[in-house]
Amino acid sequence: MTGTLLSQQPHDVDSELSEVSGRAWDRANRNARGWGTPDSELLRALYDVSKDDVPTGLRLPPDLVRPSRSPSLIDRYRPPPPLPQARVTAVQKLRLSERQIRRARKNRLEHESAASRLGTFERFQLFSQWEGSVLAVAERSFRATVLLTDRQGHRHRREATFAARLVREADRDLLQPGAAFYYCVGRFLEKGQAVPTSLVWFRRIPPSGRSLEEALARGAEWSEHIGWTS
Amino acid sequence: MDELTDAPTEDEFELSIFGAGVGEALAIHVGGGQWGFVDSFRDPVSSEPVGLRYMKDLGVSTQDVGFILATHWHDDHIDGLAEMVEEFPEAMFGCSSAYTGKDFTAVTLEYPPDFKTSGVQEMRRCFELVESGAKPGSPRPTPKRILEHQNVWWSPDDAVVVHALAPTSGALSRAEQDIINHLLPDAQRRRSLGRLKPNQASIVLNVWMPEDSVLLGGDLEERGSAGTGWSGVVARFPSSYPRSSVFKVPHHGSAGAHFDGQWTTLLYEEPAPFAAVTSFASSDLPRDGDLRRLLHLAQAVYQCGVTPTQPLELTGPERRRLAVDGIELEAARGVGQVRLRKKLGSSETWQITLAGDARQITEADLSSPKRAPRRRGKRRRR
Repeated sequence: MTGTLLSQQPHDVDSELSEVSGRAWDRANRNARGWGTPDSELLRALYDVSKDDVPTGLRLPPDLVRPSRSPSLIDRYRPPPPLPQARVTAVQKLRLSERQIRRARKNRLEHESAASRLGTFERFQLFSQWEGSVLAVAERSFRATVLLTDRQGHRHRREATFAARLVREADRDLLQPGAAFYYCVGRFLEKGQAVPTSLVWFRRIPPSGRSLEEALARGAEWSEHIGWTS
Repeated sequence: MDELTDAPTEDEFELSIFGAGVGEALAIHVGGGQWGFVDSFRDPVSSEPVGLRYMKDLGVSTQDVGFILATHWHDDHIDGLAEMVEEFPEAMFGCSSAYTGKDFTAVTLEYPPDFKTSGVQEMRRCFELVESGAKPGSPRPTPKRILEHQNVWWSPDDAVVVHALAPTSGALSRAEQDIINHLLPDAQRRRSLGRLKPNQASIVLNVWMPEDSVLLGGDLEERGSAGTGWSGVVARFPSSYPRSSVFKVPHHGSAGAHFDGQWTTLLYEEPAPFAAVTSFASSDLPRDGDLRRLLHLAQAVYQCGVTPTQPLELTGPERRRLAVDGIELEAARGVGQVRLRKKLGSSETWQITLAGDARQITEADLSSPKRAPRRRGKRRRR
């Protein structure tokens, strides 16, 4: 039994677990058979939805199992299969109810986001990218207009509230009304492991290599060509 | 949105104010079948610029649009403006002087060209389109830089004049300095355009017509510094200028855009003017306190873009991804229209019609003001 125990527990699991509803926990326990099943995805989501701290070899710790409710679970537990290459993001396989998602999101608010670890991974593979523009900033969140692209390629403009923790520390000073950003969904790749994640990436004016004088001269030339009148 | 499709008669003036949760646009019929536009936003459902759709609904030909103005480059005021400029090739394009100089033009050239949500990009597309106005033989009038105390446009018979009250010269110099700072090759300064504050250089317009006038406040705010904001506009408002009976309330009715002089100097005090305000859902504007203030000052208050109407159209995985990331998408709000009409030169009052997601504000719509918390005193001994 001990051979299958969790070797790398995510931090502060107990406090997280205390917030997980009893029903969701029981359901997850009953069906947990390693990676690949929807309910193990649920477990993973409930442990740490940001996924950057979750080792892919996560196993069910015995102290989190309620023996009186599911005594046979540990006996039935098998080592997880390797992560399938075809799986793009864990999110695509999530089958969570709205209530479970709300729970998971609430838990996750306290976690460090993947964005803060940007640069420590070998590679970031991008799956989708939406544009956004900040409208208003609050203490723990910000509101923005986002341009969503559906499967048919149509664009829809929507307003959204983002958690401020999606923005990395280095970009916090950019979080101001009017700032343009990308919301990126993808995965980090590190030592053969894929960690699905998402982050908010602020668009900067790229370094053009022009001096101020050159940029202004270019602007003056075009401004004159436009032919403004008073 | 329920459409208003009856066109005004030739001798009628019309001001239509469109608004949604995010977005503001004005359509002005100056008489004689001639139209003009101030700002633009896209219908959240059809993605079509609302001004363009209104013109199609009324059957207005492209030659009958005389001017298109951009008060400033914030997304909620400029989205779809380039499409309108393209659609109406004979319309004069005008924008604040703060954005016609070499510094802002340089910013637009430096800005990444592939960014669709940026107001700067929309301005750049407008600039590219109006550039053709400088060519000989082009039907488009040359574009106009707008500064205070300037006649921006006038109808063929000079009966209606669009006159600018802002940006003031004080606001322009501040805006230009901001833009220059942004171009400096200092990483801390050139990072994000969010540091620029386009509201300070917003256009404010008076539309003069025989016997009346309307005041279009743009997004100008009051910052309390001399020569800028509303205090600058009011201080430089000549007493010979006519007062207005209709007020498009600036900056979505926010307290920061209120200035007493607007109501005592620029608008009629008796009878009190009509006020129309558009929503800005992100900042929850206008708040009940703002509407209450407007109700106190105006004869009647109208608001566009009140209730969310359009459900979201996301796939399951997308919805879950957003939920897991703590991102709350909001349903798009419906478009509302407040239409004010009156016969040119008549002393009749305004005929006001509402369509779509627009309403007249009454005290009953507002929540009761918060009372100050009761102070806990020592309990009296009986």
